[in-house]
Amino acid sequence: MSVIETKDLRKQYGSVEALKGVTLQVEPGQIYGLLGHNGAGKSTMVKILLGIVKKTDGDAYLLGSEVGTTDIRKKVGYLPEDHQFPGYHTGVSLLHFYGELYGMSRPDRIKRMDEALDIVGLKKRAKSKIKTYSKGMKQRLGIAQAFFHDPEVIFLDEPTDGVDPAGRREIRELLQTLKGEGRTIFVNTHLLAEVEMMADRVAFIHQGELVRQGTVAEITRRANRFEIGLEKGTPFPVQEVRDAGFKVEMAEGKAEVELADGQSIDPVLEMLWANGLKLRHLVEQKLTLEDVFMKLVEGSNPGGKKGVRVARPVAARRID
Amino acid sequence: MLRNFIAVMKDSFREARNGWILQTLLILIVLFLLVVFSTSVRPLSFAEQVEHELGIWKILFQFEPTTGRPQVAIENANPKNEGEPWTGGGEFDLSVTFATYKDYESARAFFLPGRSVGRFIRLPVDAKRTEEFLSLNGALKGVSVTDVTPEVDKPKKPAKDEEQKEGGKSSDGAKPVKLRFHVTTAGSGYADKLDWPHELTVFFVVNTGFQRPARSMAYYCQNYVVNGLGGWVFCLVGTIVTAGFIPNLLRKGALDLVIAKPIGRVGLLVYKYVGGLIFFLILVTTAVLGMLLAVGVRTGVWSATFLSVIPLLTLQFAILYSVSTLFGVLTRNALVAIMATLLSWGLFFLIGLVADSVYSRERVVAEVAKQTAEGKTVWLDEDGNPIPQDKVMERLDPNAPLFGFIPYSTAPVWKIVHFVSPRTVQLDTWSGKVIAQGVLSERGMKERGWDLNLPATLGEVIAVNLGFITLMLGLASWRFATRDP
Ligand SMILES: Nc1ncnc2c1ncn2[C@@H]1O[C@H](COP(=O)(O)OP(=O)(O)OP(=O)(O)O)[C@@H](O)[C@H]1O
Ligand SMILES: [Mg+2]
Repeated sequence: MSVIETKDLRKQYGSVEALKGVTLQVEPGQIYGLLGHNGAGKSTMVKILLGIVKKTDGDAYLLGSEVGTTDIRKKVGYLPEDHQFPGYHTGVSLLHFYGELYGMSRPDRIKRMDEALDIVGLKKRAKSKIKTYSKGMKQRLGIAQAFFHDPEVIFLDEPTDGVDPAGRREIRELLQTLKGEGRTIFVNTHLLAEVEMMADRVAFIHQGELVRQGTVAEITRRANRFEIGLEKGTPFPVQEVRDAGFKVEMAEGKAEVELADGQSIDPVLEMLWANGLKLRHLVEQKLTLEDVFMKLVEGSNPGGKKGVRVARPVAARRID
Repeated sequence: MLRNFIAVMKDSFREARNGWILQTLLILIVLFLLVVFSTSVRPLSFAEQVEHELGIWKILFQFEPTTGRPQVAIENANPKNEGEPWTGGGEFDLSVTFATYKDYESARAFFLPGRSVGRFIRLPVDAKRTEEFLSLNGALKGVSVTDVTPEVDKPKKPAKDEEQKEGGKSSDGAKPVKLRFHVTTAGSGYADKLDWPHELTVFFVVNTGFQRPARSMAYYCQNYVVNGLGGWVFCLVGTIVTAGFIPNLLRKGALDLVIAKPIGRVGLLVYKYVGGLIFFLILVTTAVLGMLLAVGVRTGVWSATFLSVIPLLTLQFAILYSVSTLFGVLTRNALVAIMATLLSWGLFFLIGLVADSVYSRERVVAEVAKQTAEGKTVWLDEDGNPIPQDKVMERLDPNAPLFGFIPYSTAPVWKIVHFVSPRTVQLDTWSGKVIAQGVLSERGMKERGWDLNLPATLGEVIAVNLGFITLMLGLASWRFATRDP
């Protein structure tokens, strides 16, 4: 059984079509990344699954139940984007409050409390009022409350928002741990580099439509570019390979061979052997998720406003 | 479901005590209660009580020349039952001194012009009238009076010439008239010790000279201080403080967190509403329990019925908070919620006030009509002349404008509007009556008109108010549940 399943899911906010028929499935035990630009419809997707907003059309199931069922949410954790915790709570009292809403008994809550706060690194400040927390601390608390009640599925909407680089790494590791415990994790983000490091499967959503999905390996493999280096001092037979119908470029003493559709790198390698050349370096070049995404977006929007898109945070935030 | 409810209650309590307003108010309540605890009351002696009953007359005598301005004094007071002067009565001498014979004459002819009660008032000029005078307010029971004025002092009309020389030094006419009556009473109108006038001391030692039945003092504390002042202040502060609770819950970023939890939206809103009442409930419970204790310890008047003020006042606030909740859901703005609530509060109050005056007008007219028809009652005009039966209604003017400016023809509209709007005024009146029933004696109840029937039963008032609250919450829930956040 899929943990999450949607069929032709649509959502209309007044005249804005936030989702235009999204069909996806998330299998148990995965980290699933939903990627897209600002306003693509990522949060809308998650909010529908959690019953926060109502779908306009289509089907959506969470753990086998129609979305909007109150009880099923007991098994679900959620970190909303731009969340604001009630300032009058402390970290501890908030976890107690939410834990109670999730039906946890008091001994259970007390048992989990230290561990959860420790995992997100909030132990020291756990008894201070939330209004005294920094943005990153609030985000950590947000993550803690999302897994505190031992949920089967965890939805994280921009989980690393506002967290420093070290914290981001910690979060990535935490997600791996949670996944290791058999939970399914659904992450919304526009930080492609980040999701590339942690997700098993990703889906690209663009202007309300799912444009691509698959495992990270599948999606990034398709570069069809090989970097070939020979033993020092032996020149690469550029012309010969070109004559065989391959595109070759030399860069820093290495050859970059680009394959056309249907071509394989094997004939090139055979050619090198036949010439008695000694191979020292062969790498299949991968695309980053961002490369793939930019291509997809351009493809879905021919002659589109490329310049505008490059300026968006997708590119701007990659550095960290 | 119960667990969710408890969780939201705890959360609301946390929210209520956030920001120190609750704590500040609680401290103020405690300080006030400490003042009440610093008081003590002492029952008056028999002589003091008779003096006390004459108190208001002494003031009248001083300022109203037509009374002849007598000096009255109690002498040789002797209760039959020293330890419990409220039973058994006793005896005393009443000396009444008029400065001149003319003053004495004036007192004999006393009559307050234009004031109908004046006609029934008799001043102590002879044994019979003194008996009426002393019996007037019902505080002395079984009064019997004998004239013991010494023969030499018996008032004599001075000779004509002497009268003309009024003010002359040695003339009879200028001589004061000294009357003396021996009075025996069989008991008092006070039901028991607590109903008997007591004197109030504050701050342990400061004697205020304030004399009232202990029951009345308890009534002032419970009805005017807690139910009146306290209720008003708590409602006002409560409205302002709690108006932010719902908008806070619905704030962008806060709502998603909560509604993603396994709790239904209607449940969440209703629990949050009940949670908002906690703020008020804490204040009112502290004030009521504290005052119950303070009054009980200091006066000996213990009234368990006072406890019912906790739910009654909370219901009063619940009405306001339901308006606040609806506007909080509609606008997500605390300020708008406060304004809307205060305006509605004023509106309900005005509607209640006008409707009450319609009801009391109807009651008076019906009573007069009934008594007139029975023919047993004769109505008098300002000059004391009987009014013909067919002219009684005309003089009563049953269709005069309400409060002098609202045309009486609008009465049915007021009645309908009032019937369906929350009964804040009637609820308040009922709180007063319930308090009165707990502390006052039958005499005290009558004195304040609490023996009369109220226009609506408590059950009806509560039902209409609960209906209103349900409507407000229903609308709010409907809006909350059907709209995307
Ligand atoms: N409550 C709402 N009312 C109207 N339009 C909305 C509402 N919420 C979202 N939208 C619109 O729906 C579209 C998708 O929004 P959504 O929040 O799902 O995007 P997102 O992918 O999460 O973006 P971001 O990365 O900025 O968080 C946007 O055009 C947005 O303006
Ligand atoms: Mg979003």
